[in-house]
Amino acid sequence: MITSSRRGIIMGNTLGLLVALLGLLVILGAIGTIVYNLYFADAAKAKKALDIVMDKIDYLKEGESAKFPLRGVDGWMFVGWNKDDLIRPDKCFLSNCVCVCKTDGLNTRVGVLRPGQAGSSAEDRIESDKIKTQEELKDACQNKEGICKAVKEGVILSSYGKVIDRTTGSSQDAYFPAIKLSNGLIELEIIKGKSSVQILNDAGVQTSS
Amino acid sequence: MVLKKRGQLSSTQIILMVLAIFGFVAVLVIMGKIFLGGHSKNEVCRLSVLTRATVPSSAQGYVPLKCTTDKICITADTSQQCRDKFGGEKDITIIKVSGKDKDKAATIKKIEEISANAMYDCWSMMGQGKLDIFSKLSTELGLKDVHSSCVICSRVAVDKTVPEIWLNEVDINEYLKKQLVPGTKYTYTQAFLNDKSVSSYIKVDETALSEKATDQTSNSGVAVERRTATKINKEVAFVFMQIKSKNVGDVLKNQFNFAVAALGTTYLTLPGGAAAITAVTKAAVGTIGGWWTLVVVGGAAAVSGGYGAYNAKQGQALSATYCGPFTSQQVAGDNEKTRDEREGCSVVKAVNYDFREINNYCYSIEGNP
Repeated sequence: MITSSRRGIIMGNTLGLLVALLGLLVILGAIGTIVYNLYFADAAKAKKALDIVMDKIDYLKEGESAKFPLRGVDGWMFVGWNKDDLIRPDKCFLSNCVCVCKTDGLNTRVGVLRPGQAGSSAEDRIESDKIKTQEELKDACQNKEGICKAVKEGVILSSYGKVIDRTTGSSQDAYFPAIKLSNGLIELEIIKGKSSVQILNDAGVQTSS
Repeated sequence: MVLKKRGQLSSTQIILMVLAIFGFVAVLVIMGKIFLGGHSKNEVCRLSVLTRATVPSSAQGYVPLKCTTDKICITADTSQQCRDKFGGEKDITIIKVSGKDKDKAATIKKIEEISANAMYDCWSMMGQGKLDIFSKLSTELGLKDVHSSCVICSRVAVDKTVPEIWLNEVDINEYLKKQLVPGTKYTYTQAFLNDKSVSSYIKVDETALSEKATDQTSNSGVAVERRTATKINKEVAFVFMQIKSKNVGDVLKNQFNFAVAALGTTYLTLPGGAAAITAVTKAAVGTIGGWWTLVVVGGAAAVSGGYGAYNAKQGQALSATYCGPFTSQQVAGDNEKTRDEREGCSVVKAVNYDFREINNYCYSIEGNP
């Protein structure tokens, strides 16, 4: 009697254990999928966008250019760094690099075009009030969610367009040293020169705050 | 003593069994990878669409759509491979056609066939528009505005080695109407409508749309859009778009005054008609009001939204549109009210592969580029 009871208990428990294990695996799988999509899916999409840009850069020959739509992800930006930039993320080591960085939550100034000249030198770009922006971008790229890839050529990466002054109504050419990605499409233009690669985005017309 | 031994499972045996189960699961995972790896991209996409449609709508955002945009290059010289369109991109399907004058008709037919198949594949992969796959908890709770979501199913580019003037003769509409879907006895039109008796489709009053378009020229920006749209675009995207609404019937009554606005039916429209629906989705961005507000705004947006497709020859493909209740995971205690909340419209449409035009239709894009 005792023996048969024992047998039943053990067999019952073992089967229960097996079912519980399988159930646990299913639940873990579901949680894993949710966590992945909650925390890592955007980074994967951003990396994919960066890969497409890098493939285009590799594909183009000197003197060639390409204009193409690109799907990104909200809250991320492309930023380019040159090896002679004073402010740059350590991730780029000693190379020129293109990074895709999570800039969501940064100061709202980021993403707004600022007066300046597209393609200006590194020294010009980090002068005066732009230093803070550069620092913020560097920090965004340096953190664990920034992804950087080395480029042989010097990188000139910027959004360009016009800023209309809300009070005076006057417009001014402007640029911003990063390209804002979105869940929709943006248009990128890559121009490959002898010693530099330009990655440009026409940001259109924006109104100053 | 003997009986005890027989009934008892030692800890070693339990560990072995647990290990065996883990091994079994590992093998299953590996087999799954191999099995899914053997599947075509379309089947993987279809499976992910079905998975998403069957989870509760609040969790849909966490189930990724594994739909990769098909890149198809139609070329007369395989060494070119649509360099100007797909340069540097991977996994391009190259389709060789002839660029010789004597093969003109065959080449045109091939372009029509590829485009029709791309549209049909997109429509069937996405559950013929009847599956609710873009639900978000924030939208359901009314915390965010209703907006359109899209998947770019495929991009079809015609290489410069194919004479550009031939593209003027590409008529996807006629192809869809007359040709049978491979392996079936239905034409593409009948397959889209899921009705063997149908041999024609709803036409839009093109003149009316042109007049509306003319009215819009005074608005800055629209005229510029038009000039760029009149050239032949050699790359077309087949885009699936879906939007959900509580009162889709209102949208249909107002936007589809040329159509039989029967909920739960599928219909085919020329570009202007589809643009009417899709433009509503664009107008919905940033609007908090109900659908009546959206319809009014959407009316104007429809003209500029549809204009590019109106002029570019490839864009004149039909749009397969489904408006009505979605088939998806029903919540417990589902009643008529919750059913109403699962209504919406789905469209598959050929759009010039231009970021402005696609952004006009799609607030957000999912899937892999």
